[in-house]
Amino acid sequence: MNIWRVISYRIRALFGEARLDSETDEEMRFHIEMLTREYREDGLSPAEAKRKALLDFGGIERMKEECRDSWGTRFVTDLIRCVRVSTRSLRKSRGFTATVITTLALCIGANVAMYAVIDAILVRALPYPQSERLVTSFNSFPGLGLDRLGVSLVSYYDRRDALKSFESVSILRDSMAVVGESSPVQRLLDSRVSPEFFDTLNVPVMMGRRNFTEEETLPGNALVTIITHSFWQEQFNSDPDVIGKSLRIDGRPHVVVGVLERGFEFPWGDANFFRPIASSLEDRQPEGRYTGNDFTMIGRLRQGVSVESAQKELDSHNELLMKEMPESLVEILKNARYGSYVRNLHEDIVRQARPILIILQAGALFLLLIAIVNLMNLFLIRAKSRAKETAVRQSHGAGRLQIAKEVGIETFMLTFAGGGIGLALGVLCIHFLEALGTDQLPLGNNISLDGRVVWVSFICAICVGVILSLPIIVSSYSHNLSSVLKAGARGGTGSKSQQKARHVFVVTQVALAFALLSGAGMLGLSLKKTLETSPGFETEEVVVANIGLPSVKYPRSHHRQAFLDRLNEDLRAIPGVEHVGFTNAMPFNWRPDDFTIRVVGRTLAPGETDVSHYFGFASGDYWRALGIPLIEGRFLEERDNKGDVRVCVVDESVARRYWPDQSAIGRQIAWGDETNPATIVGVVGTVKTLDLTELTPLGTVLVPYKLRPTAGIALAVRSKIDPEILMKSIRDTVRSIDPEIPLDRAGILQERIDDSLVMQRSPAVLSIAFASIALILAAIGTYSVIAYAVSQRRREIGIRIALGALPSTILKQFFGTSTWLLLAGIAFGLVGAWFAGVGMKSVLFGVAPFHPGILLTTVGIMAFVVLIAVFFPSNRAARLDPLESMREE
Amino acid sequence: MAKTKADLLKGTLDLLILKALRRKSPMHGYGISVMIRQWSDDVLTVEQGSLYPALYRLEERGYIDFEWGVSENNRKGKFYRLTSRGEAFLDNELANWTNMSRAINMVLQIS
Repeated sequence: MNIWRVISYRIRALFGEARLDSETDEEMRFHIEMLTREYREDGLSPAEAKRKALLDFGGIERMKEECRDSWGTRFVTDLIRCVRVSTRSLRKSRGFTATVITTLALCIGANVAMYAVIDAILVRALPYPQSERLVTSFNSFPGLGLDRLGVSLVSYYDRRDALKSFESVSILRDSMAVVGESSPVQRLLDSRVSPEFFDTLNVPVMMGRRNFTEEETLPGNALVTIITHSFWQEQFNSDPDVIGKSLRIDGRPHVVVGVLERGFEFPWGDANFFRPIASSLEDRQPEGRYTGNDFTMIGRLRQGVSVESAQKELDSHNELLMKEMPESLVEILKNARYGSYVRNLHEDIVRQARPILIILQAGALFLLLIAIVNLMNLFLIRAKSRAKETAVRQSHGAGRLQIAKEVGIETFMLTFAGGGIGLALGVLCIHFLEALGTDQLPLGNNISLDGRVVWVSFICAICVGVILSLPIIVSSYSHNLSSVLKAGARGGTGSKSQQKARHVFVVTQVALAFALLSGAGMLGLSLKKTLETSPGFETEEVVVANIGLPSVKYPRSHHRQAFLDRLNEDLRAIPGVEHVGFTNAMPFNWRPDDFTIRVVGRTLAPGETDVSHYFGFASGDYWRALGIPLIEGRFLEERDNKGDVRVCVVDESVARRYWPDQSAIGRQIAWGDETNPATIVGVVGTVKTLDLTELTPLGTVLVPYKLRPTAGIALAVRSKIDPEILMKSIRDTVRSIDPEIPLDRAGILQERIDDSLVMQRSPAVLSIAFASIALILAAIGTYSVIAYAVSQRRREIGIRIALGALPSTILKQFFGTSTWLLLAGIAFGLVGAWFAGVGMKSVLFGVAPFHPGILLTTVGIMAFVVLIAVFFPSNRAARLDPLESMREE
Repeated sequence: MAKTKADLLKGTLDLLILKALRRKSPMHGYGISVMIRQWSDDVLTVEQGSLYPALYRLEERGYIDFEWGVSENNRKGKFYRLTSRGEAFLDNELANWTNMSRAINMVLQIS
């Protein structure tokens, strides 16, 4: 009963606000009339009686408001009214509204997009149950120049059985496989995994089983596969009875034993299917423990075991194993500073992306900060221009709370509008970022606008709203009404403290924009330096591609050699082709193998050890195709592939390492078997192998195909023919020799290099975009402060001009102030730039964290932009017509 | 929730309004204010306007009700009267009030 009464009351109140208002009005007016009459009966004059009655009654407006309060609908009606009032006033000042919303939208948009990336890559947990317990482990031989390798097969078997910290230990290795019965066949990414791999990740299968058996890890038994959901859809047309069916991989039928759930994500490449890692029992003997470190190890720690304690256990496990080893090997391992490390899996996957992402997010936050400072200034100017209106309303009895509420609502309307548009902009930016290559980042496929990102932008909008409205509310509380009214009336110059506040805003903005600009400059210069770095070969007019020769059809090296010879001949026969070369150590392709090399006749200094170099074959016109220069001796030739001769070519870095002052030609080096060395016949230029920014090359040794007859082959063709047409010809040529061999990753060599720059280029582009916005904001901010100062002092300036002040004096005065502000901003900006530089050190290439050239340029740009922004309002002041300025108001 | 001084004053005003309406009903706002002034010998000089928010508050809680009527000088006005809920509330509050003032008296006498 009662509840209905309340509800009906509230509805009535909500809709009949106007009526209730007039009822209250009527009641109060009646009351005051009666009071007046009482006083008149006491013998007071009508005016005096009315005054006393009003005094007795108290503030009518406030009472009315209190009445509305007790209606309980106050909040809603108030909100609606405030929104209505604010909308009206915002519509009146379109320029202000547009500036605020645009600024906020841009800056919140940038932050939303950046956060979406950070959220996907750094914040969100890996998509596996209790993924915080997942770790990876790798071996390191810094003494050999190999800071980070995978683990060996033997280590896997050792650790799987011995380590108590782990619930399970598994390994994997990416590979390529040819899939299909006959042409067209596909060359697809797959992965070799140990039996318990999916157990370790704890991902479900849709059907079949998720583990391979121990028997299936023996050669000959390993013809089974677990496929991904998407591969199941494409290859098997979502066949529900796929389990037990056969799939031809690398020419051999494999039995499908499991299908993974949809949405299984795999941060280590885009494997389509998984096969067991097969090895003979001899392969698992301790002799191989420290070689072939090319498996990625994934482990799941036991509940409650920390990475640190797992590390401790692994260390002592390694110590123990070393004791079984012969003294000589222990010596080598010691010199190589061998160690195994356990890392949290998520942290390890994102370790390279983390610093640059954090730097960019910091940049976006700086941008938001500049925007806030800018807007705070705009808001205060607006509040100031309305101070008189506010004061009049307050003197008429409007509560300060009411005024504060209006300010708050107006501000929040703006920030929410800005935040909303910013969110939309952020979505666009996410697509833009994708175009810049964020999807190539680890876990970059997960970047999306999820609920959390929306929340972040919402919270962002609220925080900005609070920050922007607080100073105005505080200042409206502290206002002395009469002084405001008088100041407005006299056209005074405004209070000192407000002027000081505005100056602080300008300095802050200039400083922040300066830091951002110099940071962007550093990233930009770093990118430029990277791009200018020669890879050591000529990338123009080179098309590259990979092929794999299946072991079923090409089991022995002479089969593969025959194929290669034929391919070489046929490719060279294509009209317009200049050079054709083959290798398995192509730069910017896959990571080449590395072997430990021993120089014949060279005694190691105590503590020194043999080091590893990239090692591969090269045949055909490999060096000419890539444009790698010959320094000394000769390239490898056809004859080197025949008979018993053992020769090789090393690059300059290898030659310099061992024979700094002498020729390397004729020297002998050995790998694996020391009794069977090869003679160096040529020294070629050093190339960058994986990354333009690598500083200390590992060095490369290249041998004829007969000494390293691998199944995976990369080909390079130099030609002036249009790359698209050339690629088609290459594909046709390969197919005409063997239709079952597909071409993979065919493309222009330069594109490979461009792709390798994603971590440098995108941040540079983004940070320059941020810096440009920051610069514009700083210009707007400075402009508005000076323009406001001019408008406030029109009368004063007018009088001074009337009294004979020269325009140049006025101009000088404003420029003088601005120059001081600019200098102060730059001084703080330099400090900020220093911090930014130190923070960015790890991602810079060839640029010192405190680069004088960049800083000078930044000073120049900053000064130019700020002074331009100052010039327009100052110039207006200098040309003021004194008569007009005094006639105003 | 701790009651502030203003809350206490408000509560007192509510009680006075209800008490006035028990004495004489129905009555318009001005009439109520006159009666309260007489009782308190003009000691409780609250702003008279604050009567109205109190009236609305009480009405919303269902302690008083009103109807439209015509006053002595022929003006349309709201005439308030006590509801049964209001009666009960007043009794209860008065009892509380008496208890408390007795307690205060006692404490003050002892000291």
